[in-house]
Amino acid sequence: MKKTDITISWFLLGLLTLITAYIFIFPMLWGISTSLKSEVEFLDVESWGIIPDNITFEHFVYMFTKSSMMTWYINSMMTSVGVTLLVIIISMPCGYALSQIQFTGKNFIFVCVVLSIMVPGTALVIALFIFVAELRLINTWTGIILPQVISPVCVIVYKQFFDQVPKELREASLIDGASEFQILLRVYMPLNWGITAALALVTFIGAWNNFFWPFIMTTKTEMYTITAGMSQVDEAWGVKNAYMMAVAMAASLPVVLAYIIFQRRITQAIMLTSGIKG
Amino acid sequence: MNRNIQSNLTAWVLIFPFVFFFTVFLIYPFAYTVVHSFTDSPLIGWGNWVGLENYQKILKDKLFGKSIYQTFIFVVWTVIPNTVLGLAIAMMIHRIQSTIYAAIILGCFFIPHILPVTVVTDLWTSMTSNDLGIIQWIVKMFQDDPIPFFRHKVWAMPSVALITVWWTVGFNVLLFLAGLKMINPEIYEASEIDGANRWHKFRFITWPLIWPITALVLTLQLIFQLKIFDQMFLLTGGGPYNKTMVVLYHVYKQSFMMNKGGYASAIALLIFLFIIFVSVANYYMLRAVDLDKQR
Amino acid sequence: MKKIILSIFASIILSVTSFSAFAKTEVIWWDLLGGGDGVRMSQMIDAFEKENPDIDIVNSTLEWGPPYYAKLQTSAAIGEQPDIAIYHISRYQMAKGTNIFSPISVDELASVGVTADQYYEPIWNKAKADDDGYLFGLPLDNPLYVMHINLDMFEEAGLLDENGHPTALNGDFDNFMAQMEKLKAITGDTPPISFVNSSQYAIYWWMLSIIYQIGGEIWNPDDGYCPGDQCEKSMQFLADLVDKGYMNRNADGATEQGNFVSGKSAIYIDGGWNTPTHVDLARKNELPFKYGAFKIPQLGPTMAAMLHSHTFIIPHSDVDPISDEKRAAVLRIMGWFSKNSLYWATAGHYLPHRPTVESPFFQNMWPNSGYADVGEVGFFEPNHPIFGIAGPSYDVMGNWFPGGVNGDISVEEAIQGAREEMNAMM
Repeated sequence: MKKTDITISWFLLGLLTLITAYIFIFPMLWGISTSLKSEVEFLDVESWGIIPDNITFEHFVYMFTKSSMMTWYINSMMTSVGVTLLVIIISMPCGYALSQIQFTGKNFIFVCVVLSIMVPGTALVIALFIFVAELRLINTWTGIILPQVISPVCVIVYKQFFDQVPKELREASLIDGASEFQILLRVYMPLNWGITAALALVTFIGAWNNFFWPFIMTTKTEMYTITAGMSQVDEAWGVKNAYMMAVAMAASLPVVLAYIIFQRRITQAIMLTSGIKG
Repeated sequence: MNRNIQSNLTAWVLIFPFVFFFTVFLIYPFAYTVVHSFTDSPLIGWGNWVGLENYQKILKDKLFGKSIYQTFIFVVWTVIPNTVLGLAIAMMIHRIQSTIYAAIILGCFFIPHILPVTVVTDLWTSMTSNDLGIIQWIVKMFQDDPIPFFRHKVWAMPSVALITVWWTVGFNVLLFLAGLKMINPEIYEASEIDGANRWHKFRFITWPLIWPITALVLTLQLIFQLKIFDQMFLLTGGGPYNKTMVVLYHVYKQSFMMNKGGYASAIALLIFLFIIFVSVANYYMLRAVDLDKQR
Repeated sequence: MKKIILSIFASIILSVTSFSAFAKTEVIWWDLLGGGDGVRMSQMIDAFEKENPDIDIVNSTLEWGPPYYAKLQTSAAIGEQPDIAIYHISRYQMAKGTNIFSPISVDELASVGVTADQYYEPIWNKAKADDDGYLFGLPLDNPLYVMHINLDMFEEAGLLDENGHPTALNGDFDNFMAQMEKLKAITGDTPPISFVNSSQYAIYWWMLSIIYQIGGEIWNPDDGYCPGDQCEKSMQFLADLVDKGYMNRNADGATEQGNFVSGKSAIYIDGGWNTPTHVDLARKNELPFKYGAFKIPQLGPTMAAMLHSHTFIIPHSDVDPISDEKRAAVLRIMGWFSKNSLYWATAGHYLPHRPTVESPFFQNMWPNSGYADVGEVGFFEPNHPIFGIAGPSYDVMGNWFPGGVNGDISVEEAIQGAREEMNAMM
């Protein structure tokens, strides 16, 4: 009797899990499905099936041959990679110093870092814009990248990681006559490749997804990133649902691929950046 | 002594890149905004010094009060479902034995979280479009006319909130899942011997042991959702009837549409102070429970 | 006149083979013209470059609306502004405080053959920066809302006069409703009117004309925004059209234009800039009916139709003002577009340039001739900084108007909400 009971509830819960998961992923399926339909098929109210009657890649072909999408894609790729590299290069030594070295002003710096998480970026956009403009960096990759390279969360994660490394390791190296730079590069860095990879992934996704800053600071269409540029698609080309969905799917492809390939690393990064030492 | 100076020097060299960019791209714009808030400047450029006038104006600004209230409503509409749903989904995934199956199911919930906001809004705009959106097809089973979700006096705010929950819940699922894995299964087995049912196990084992994670989720969600802007910018434009006017959209409107840079800066600063206040309050709440002890 | 047209067409065709024999002046050009407008504008730019090989126009089209104007302003603040930009005339009063304009003197314009007497007085006055002979910009066109109609259905309902014009719709609200009933008998399940009532733009652009037709105004210095009850009456009229099933509720753009061009609805009230789309379809025999375009109906004692205007401005920048050489080139561009605006009119726009409008070719151009005399009844928004396309007033209307027309809230609530918000900003 008890056994059947468990089987039924086990089955029902499993079914519920499946249904919920399907509901959550459905918008993506809708997007993929619509992007593979012709505008005509999408407009046909009768054929709302999730599997298109006739799969067509016309929107993707158009996008990458006739529209500005390729340029936007390259802009997104270059700026996101730039942001990722700089964030890692800047955050790691900072986290190391905050963790391992006693120096004047250490606590003050750390408090600043923590507080800066709470600054709503949208509110600083105007001041940033004017400043970046004074540097003559409007409409440049550098201009898009630089304000995004401060990542307090990455600094904190590195600090926490270095905190956990046994003190003896550093002391032994110091006695051997190694400098702090050598310790960081030769001893500590090889220890944390996993963390670096995880942080790099989420930084890349964050930079790729950043909307408002690239949107405000680019005044030329050829400098848009894909995330900022795609909000203009429906305005400039008239309402084209299927094409719009194709653009959306293309814009999310790199981040979704990154997740599917590196699922474990990204999970780890989420844990680290939210303070769970998993 | 010599040693001390040297390590100071080394440390500053190591942190210099970060401090440099931090000063240039955060402290400086922040200071600029502070000074700006005491002037009647337009969006671009400088105006006259007006002292505290902008802050006095905020007190009388009805729309500001409304936007604070609605930001709070949005936070309630998103943070609570996000937490409840996050925990529920995490528990569903936690009981899956097969790693691959669990990863696929987790992916279904997490993939929305990594999408760019513009993709999120485009997907839902398409799904709710008047004649062709799949959601309107469901609406038409109940009534003749489609519902203009983002322009509707009742639906606008819950719709944006719902989409935001869909977008962000995956993050919380991950955190809860990590929390559930930290709970020793022997505790459940022991309680089963004592005759605990499903509800007892949740109420007396899972819930108290997962509480630190719940507190963490609540805090992170609070900070994140208070900064709501992009979705309103892309979906509702603060309308209809200002019912989705949230605080950062008010800042955007005052600066970019009304050309009142100084006033907008003053509001922006208040929001910053408010977020700090909320976060610090939460920090103390969190400190009450030591995370590491629970492992 | 025909010769000029032909030469423009010819030069557009030939412009592919443009060559550069000597140093060119590069002029940065910004506009916000999408769709058919955008296509026509690039053709005209090519034609200009063909005739003026010493000037190279580098044009970009930005997103229509608030982002365009925000970007114009931010770029001017840092000296990255274009040398010439399209700017809506309705925003002049709003934007003059931001120092975005580098006013153009009447003498400068005269040097490229543009004079005040070539323009209709109201629009020339609207463009004035002061009374000392300076303009903020030079008007190019007068886009307006018109009534696109399915002549077959009108014929069937007996709503055409002896000239084939839909004058039977003129009169008052009740008459209009009665005629809609006749059309609805023909259109059946589809409402007779296609109208994008989910957008404050469409609502306002028709509604403001109705307010003026029934003797109201949108603002006056004494009573503020929406004085009198004409705002309520006009919006109530639109709300009634929805309630009685003469137009769709919460109708969006694609569906509405789709209903009209597929021959399901009888009337499409929208921009005259849609005319070329319809004409192209008609030429390709893809329009299943006889098409006509006319002034919007007169629903009160006086006829009135709101006009907009795209104008050319020279953006000002304190940081990096335009050079004399470029300014001269920009003026030549303005002069050329003024003289050659007839081709632009084929995009369905009405024009402010009197010699072109009065030319027989323009007067007989099908189907624009249905609204070729609209200049006499056209009006602009009042001269108050709050008005202007993509400005705060549109934001307020976006907040209140669609809900009022579509029955989400009452008409009184909608107008009162907008009234309070607007008056608070003034």
